[in-house]
Amino acid sequence: MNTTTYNNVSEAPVLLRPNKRFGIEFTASRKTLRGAFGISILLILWQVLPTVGVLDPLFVPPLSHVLTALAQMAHNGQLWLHTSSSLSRVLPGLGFALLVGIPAGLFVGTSQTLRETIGPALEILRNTSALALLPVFTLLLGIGQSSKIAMVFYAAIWPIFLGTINGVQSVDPLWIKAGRAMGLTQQGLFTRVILPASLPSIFTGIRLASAAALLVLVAAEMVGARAGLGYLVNAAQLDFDIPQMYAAIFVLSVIGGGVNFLLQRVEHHLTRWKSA
Amino acid sequence: MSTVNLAHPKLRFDAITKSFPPSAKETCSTIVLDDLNLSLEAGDFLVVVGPSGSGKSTLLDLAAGLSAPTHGKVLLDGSSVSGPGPDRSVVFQNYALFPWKSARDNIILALDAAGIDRREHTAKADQALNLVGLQQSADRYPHQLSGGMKQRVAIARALSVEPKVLLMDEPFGALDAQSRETLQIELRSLWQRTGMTIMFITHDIDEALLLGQRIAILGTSPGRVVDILDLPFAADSNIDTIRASADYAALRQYIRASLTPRNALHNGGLS
Repeated sequence: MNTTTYNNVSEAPVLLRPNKRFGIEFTASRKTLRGAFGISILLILWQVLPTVGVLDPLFVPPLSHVLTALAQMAHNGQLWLHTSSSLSRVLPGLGFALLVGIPAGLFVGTSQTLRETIGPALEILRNTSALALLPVFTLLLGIGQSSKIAMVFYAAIWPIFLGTINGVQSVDPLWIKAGRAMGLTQQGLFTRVILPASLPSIFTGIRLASAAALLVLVAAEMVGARAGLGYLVNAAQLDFDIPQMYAAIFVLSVIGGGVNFLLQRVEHHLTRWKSA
Repeated sequence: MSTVNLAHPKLRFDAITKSFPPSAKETCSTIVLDDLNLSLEAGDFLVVVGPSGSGKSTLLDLAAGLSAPTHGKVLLDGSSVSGPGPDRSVVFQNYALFPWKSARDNIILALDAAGIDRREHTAKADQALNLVGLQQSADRYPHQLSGGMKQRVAIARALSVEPKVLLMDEPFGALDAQSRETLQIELRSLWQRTGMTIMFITHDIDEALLLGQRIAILGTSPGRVVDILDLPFAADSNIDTIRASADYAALRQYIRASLTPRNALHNGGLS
């Protein structure tokens, strides 16, 4: 009697599993197809609308012209020059923001007193537009590489820092209680409960940060730089080389989308325990 | 109180008082437990039943070493409890499984925290899962398990470290009626098979009667032991037999009356 009841309970979900797995894969591939379809429509419109004259091809050249300009830039080395120049600013800025933001967030997140003390100040700093601070950074650090890296750092650190604090703060107290009851030490509790539990929120912060970093980078490069994709967009527009301008914008979109995609994959891998 | 006082009971609450310091709204501190005495002998299955506010969860936290008594001592095998330790395991109402770890890895974390040799982890974890009939689900994550299965994993995790006392804090409160009964039956048979010492907290009188060997009834404000009952049911009798017996109804009635606040009874008598 006992065994029968128990078998029913434990076997039912096992029987369901293959179906569920199939369901997930199926929806995932359909989702990908739909997304690809949406992007194709966008690209086709870009090609067709200027060609048939709905949009002025002088201001919005068709996709094929933009791709030709892109190929030319790739060929003469301009594309790599500007892309590498931009990456040399955004990667260190983002990297420093990660190195500082995550440990600081973990530290602040665990202390309620500290959180309450610096919380309002953080809100003000976070809501101070990095773009508004552009002249300040230029004033302090000049127009060179360091002021741009510093700006990217400033824009990127807040989402990471606050995402980490939020992650630590929202750890289910029951998990901490369970960890303590098992006899985990403070350090064990931190590395084996608090950190993994905060990971999803930290990753949300990283993704927001990378978007913010690119945004600020482009603005900084438009204002004062002699290389970089932001500079290229602006310079091409001033030269009235419109296909080249769109080509630079296109590269920026691809970088932004690519980074987001990569981070999403890593995030998905690290937090695959979450219910789908 | 018919408890035979041996030299060292397995777990003993010795004149426990627990009060919490005043919060922002109150002026004086709240006394949750007042001069409470309670003992569990080795192999006891003691159910602590009480209304909300009787401090029954506080009592369990004290036994687990998650908080310290204001006065008095909690003694395990005669020595004072000063913090959490692998000699006591807790099963919580909401499972408290770590969602980023599979069933097996949840158990391995507990084994690791208890300082058990790494080489024995997998074998011990699988053995514990076997005990609750979940050997098939070792690699599944908590979100892939039903409520009943999650609580089985939590029980397996608690048992894996081979504690001296198993502490259970309303463990079946969040389950649907059917899973609850299945788990009650399983827990009873687990206790019969292993002879472990269990302290089980609940507010459900039926659960207390079906599971326990002894029942401690707590009263409110402040929490204290109102009565201790030795249940007349044989340790190996099954739940249906217990439920059908004449004693069951009488005991149920008695416990209900004991749990009703005195002033409520008084008001009832007046009207």
